[in-house]
Amino acid sequence: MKQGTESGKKSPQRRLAAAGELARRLLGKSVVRRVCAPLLAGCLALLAAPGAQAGPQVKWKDVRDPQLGKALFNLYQDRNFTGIIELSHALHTQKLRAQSQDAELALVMLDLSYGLHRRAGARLASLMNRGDTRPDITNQIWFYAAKIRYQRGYFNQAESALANISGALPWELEQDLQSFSALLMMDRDQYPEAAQLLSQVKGRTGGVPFARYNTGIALIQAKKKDEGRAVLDKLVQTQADTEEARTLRDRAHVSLGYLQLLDNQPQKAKAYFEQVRLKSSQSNEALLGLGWVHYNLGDFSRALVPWMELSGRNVADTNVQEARVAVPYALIKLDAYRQAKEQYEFAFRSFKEELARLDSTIASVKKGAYFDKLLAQSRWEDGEKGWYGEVYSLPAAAESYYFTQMLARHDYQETLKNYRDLRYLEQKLNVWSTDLGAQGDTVAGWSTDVDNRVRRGAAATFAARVNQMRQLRDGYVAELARIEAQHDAPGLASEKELQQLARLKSLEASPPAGSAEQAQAYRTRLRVLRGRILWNVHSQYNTRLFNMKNALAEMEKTIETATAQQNRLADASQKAALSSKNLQQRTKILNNKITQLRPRITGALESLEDYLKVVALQDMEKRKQILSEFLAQVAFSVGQANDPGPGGGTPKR
Amino acid sequence: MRTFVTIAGIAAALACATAGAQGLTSDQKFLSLDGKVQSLKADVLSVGEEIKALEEELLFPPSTQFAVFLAADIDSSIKLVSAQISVDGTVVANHMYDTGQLEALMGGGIQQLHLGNVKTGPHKLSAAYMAKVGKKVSRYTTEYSFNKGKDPVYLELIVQGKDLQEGGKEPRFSAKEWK
Repeated sequence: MKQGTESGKKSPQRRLAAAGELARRLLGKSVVRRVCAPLLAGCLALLAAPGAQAGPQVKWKDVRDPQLGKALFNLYQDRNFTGIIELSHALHTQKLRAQSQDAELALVMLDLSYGLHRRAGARLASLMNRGDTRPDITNQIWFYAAKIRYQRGYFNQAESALANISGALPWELEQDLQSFSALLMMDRDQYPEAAQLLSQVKGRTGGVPFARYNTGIALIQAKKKDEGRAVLDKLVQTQADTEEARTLRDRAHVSLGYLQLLDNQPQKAKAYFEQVRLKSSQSNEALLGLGWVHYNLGDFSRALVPWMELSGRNVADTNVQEARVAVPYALIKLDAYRQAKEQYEFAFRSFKEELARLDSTIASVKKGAYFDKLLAQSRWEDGEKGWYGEVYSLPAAAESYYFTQMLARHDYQETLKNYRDLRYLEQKLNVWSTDLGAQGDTVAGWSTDVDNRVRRGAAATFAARVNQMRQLRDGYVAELARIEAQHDAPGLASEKELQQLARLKSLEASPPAGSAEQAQAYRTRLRVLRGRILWNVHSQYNTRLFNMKNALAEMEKTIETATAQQNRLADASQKAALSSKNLQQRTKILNNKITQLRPRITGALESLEDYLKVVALQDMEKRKQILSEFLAQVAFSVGQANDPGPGGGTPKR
Repeated sequence: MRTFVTIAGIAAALACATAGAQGLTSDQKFLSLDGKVQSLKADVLSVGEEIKALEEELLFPPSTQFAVFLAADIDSSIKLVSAQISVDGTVVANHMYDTGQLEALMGGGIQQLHLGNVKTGPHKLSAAYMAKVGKKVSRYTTEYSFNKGKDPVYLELIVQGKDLQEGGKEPRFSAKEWK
């Protein structure tokens, strides 16, 4: 470092250099932070491993019940909300003709996939208590339950879910289980045990590189730095065929680079940083590290190359902020004071602008404006999926950058999922409410129709006819009783006989003109004819009385049948009215339930939004704090550079 | 050559960072909100189940209820393109399959193709499928006669075919009643 020309009087260059020393200390602190970042990220990498968040993989091989099959069809397509409703209904209405135990397990899986891990755990425990379980399936379900609980921050419950697993899982899941158990150990600071467990993960599945990475991290944390480094070294040398694997390799390179830098091995660190792809998500940290490598090697002009590249990137990234402070510092080392001053001024301006952007974002978050944009990106139909549904993509807005890191946080992701799910439920309640209205109308229409057709129409006509029959019957019974009492045989004469007797009477009253003998013969003929009719009537009295009584008995039977039919019709009418009343009552109860659920959902949505805001604001404030530290340092450096000193006429500092 | 950090510094920072991360994920407010959401979801699902029961009672009473399911014992050598079903000559359902649905069928899932009503008495179900083996798309049909009594009738259409090749073994389509 070039010294000032006069002792006791600092030149602007000297003051700038002194300011640079302060910047160096600040940068030193932030290097610690940079090294930690990939290590911590590494700890969490496991959950991002392929398959870790994939949909449920529990498979049933022998499906013999359509309701179980339908539930699985829903489950495999992440139609969890619909699946739960349909399978619960099928179970409660005893529709399961076979495999009801399997169906209950499928319901647990649906609950779990939908994010209802508490209810799923309780149901599964209850099934296990009943002894109604298939270990091949329950073991897998407990494993998924553990993962979901871990991701939601229920660490103890995650461990208790793992404790329920008895026996082996399918091979791939067994590997996954070991990685996951190691993650839990690392959370308990049991790094040697975690490293031991992770070293047993084998095979060529997508999760293995993540297990290797975490093994390296666990060993380093367990103070076995060399062993950990060796594992990471092996990882970066393996073939990376996918973007995910390449990103992991970049991350391992960055971690190894910073570890070497910490061990005063900048030359070795350089080799690692240079392997990181320039467009990788890790490249900012690599560029920053590479700058520090050259700086430590005393090659300040070379340090400027990665730092200048980094300095031109998005200033919202703290790596870029650090580079903008590091660049003028390296320039001072090269005695390029004018350029250093320019770079400090550039950093000062850009930091001020960034602070203003942060303030504006904070205001936008406080007003909820940003969340409106964020939530507008969401696909509400994903609310059907629940836990397995994708999380939000960020809107094309200036504020989005600040949310990328927050979206990597489990609590933030899970809260957003919950928020999306509740918005879906809110919409679902609206649809149901409309459907219930339509059903209510249908029931009311049906009820009126039944009422008109049965009670007022057919039933009324039928009742009138039955009454008529009863009256007729009563008349016949009374007449027959009189005839029997009076032994009135003519009373049983047929209609024809009565007509013939009436005709004979009429002929007697008006005899034809003629002689007396002719008149006598005429009357005699009429008497004989009447006698024959009356003889028939009297001689057949008993038979006719018997037949008449039989006919009345038949009539009685007909009336009884008709009365029974009339009663059945009335019953049916009453039942229809009751059923319609019952359906209308149920519709009303359901509408009430929907009405009660709505404010609960609104309240929960507000709480979730508040939580999302608070977390976002905390993160912004943290960013502001880091940036303010840089800004203060840069402002001091700029001030020093502009201060002509004690003889310069400017106020003393 | 100078470095600005120490291993002790890293350890301290790591401890802080790890504790911080755990503090956030196990945050009481987050857990309390999550519990509240789970309880709400369960309550909404319960209402949904009641609505489902009401709808079924109203629209598909057991005395007339009739459902058709489709199960598949197939592998990727055959791609089911579409299915159409008719009851007594009237088309009641048409369906085009997407990849997700075919995977769900191959995984043991069973699709409910149709839920409707038929009168008591004899009926005839006809099913027509379009399926692709190799590059060739073919049409297949199957018929099934059934009698509707007072209980619901569930019919199962079954598609079978594994390791198929164009011009080789044909897939099989059948139907049966689920009792």
